[in-house]
Amino acid sequence: MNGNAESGSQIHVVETLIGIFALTHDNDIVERVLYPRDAKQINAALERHAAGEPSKEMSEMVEKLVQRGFETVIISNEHLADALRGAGVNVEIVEDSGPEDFVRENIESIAVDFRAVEDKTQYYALSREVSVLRTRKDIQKAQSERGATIIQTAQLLNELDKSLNVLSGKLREWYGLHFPELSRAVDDHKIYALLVERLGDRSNFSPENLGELELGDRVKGILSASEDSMGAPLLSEDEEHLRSLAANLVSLYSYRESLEALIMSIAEEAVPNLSVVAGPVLAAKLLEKAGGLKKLAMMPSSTVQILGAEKALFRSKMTGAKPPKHGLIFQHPYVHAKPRKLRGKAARTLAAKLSLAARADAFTGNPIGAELRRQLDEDAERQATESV
Amino acid sequence: MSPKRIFPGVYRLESEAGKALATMNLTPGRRFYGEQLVTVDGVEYRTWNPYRSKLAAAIRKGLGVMPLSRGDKVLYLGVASGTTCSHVSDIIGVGGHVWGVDFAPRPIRDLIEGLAKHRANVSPILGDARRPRTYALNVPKVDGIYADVAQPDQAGIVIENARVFLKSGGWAVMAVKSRSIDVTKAPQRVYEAEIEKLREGGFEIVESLELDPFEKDHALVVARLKS
Ligand SMILES: C[S@@+](CC[C@H](N)C(=O)[O-])C[C@H]1O[C@@H](n2cnc3c(N)ncnc32)[C@H](O)[C@@H]1O
Repeated sequence: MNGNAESGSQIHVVETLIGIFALTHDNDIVERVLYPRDAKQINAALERHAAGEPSKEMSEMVEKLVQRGFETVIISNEHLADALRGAGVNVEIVEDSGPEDFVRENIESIAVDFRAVEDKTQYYALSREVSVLRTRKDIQKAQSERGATIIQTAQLLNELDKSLNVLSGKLREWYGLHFPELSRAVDDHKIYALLVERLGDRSNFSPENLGELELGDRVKGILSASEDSMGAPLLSEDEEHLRSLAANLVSLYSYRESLEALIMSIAEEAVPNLSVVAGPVLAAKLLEKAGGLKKLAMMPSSTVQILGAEKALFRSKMTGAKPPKHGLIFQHPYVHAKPRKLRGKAARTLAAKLSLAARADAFTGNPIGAELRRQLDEDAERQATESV
Repeated sequence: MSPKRIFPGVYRLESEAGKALATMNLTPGRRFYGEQLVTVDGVEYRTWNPYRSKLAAAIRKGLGVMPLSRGDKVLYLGVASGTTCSHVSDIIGVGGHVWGVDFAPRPIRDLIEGLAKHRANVSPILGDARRPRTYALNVPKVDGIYADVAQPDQAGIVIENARVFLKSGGWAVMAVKSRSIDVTKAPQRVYEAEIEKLREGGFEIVESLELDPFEKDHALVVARLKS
């Protein structure tokens, strides 16, 4: 009934999980090309279509349709348009397609009728397998997009820390002319800035005023420092500037905290395994240094071990000095809490686990972080008890 | 002591420890979010906490008709890590299937590793409920839609998904959060506005229940698509 009579006529094309179907307006299935019964291959075909490229099956379908004299295919699934055009037919997109509804409503029986699967249960099993596979990939994609944000924020945090250090140093230097003893009494930059912002002149460092700032047991030291200070008097013009600088620093420190919180939440989402093993902030810094998750995951773990110690490595190559034992990962308690002579080995162990975690985040999505972390913690504990 | 059946697949357990809602565990020995496993006469149940799940809260508040039944195919929008979904999976049983959609990668990953891996009747989908076409290939026509997406346009989302996925005569259950839709209106008016939208979208309203004290500022609406 098909033949030449239909020359130039239109046909509906419907994509399903089991293959591609061509139907007439009255839901007659005139052609079909089935995918192999394998979730991976199905997924690969669907991905090609989504990217606007025809799969092997799609090209085969279009070839058959063209041979039969169909020139235009009707679809309601817009995202197929590019792939179909790529395979060589005209495409018309409609809002609702009866044939598509028909296929969707009867997909399990169609799948069984065309022997794509043995029975309905098998159809659902296959469909679930495809969903899990696709969802795992989608999660990874979403994660790597978040990974780009992490790198930006980690860089920002880095710059911010440098600036905060420089500016805090400036504040200490200038205000120190007036109250040199405070620098020693308070080593936390943020608290130092807070004191200058709120109290200004040293004469305001009273127990009541300090009490309001909730500084805990630091108050005593600060008070005794202020009692017989050797500093010069503070001009009111200088005081104004210093307090304003200090206020800005305090707010930058708060901003820094929010940035760190952001990094933590993104890292836990984007690189869950690496975050558990490294801690989210170190995870972000490693990603930043490596230039992305994929790159970090593909590095040999001996490179991960010294990531961030490039200068020292360069120096050792030029001068024959000892190569560095650790880079950024020195920040991890598993390394820095160890006695110096054990740190090299600890760094190697940690780097190996970080590599495994990064690979899981980049490639498999398997949740192995907690187990890796447990091994590190156990090991650290054992060593701590042994060295007593 | 013997479990009292409230709806097909939903039971009330009574013991010295008190009363609890429960569903029959489809995967005996396995728990998913800290619920209790209770075995009576060789059958294992999972307790169902109304403070953790809006559907359980609705049952406790006197839900008249249970839309879910054994063998149902269900599209679950806003599935998160699958707390409620695990009980949906119990109720529909091996012959049923639930497709769980959420747009947040983290909970969906937890859904895969926690629930979907162990249950053949759960399929995870990372997707935006506002764009049903993007997951149309993975989800067939379904008997019911369960929506708990905490989005301003809940009813609109349900209607759009119903157009693509819901069989005629199929049911929809929609959690409405009065606050996320409009902070300035009284809760009742927010619920009514959403209910009205469902009606305009071709649904018949079966019932609507406020969920306090289990879930503040929330109602659960049960509706049926007119055939
Ligand atoms: C209140 S929680 C759902 C809790 C879950 N129903 C339960 O009882 O176990 C709401 C969920 O909806 C998801 N969500 C919000 N907007 C969404 C959208 N447009 N598409 C998909 N999921 C969405 C959120 O990520 C969140 O996980």
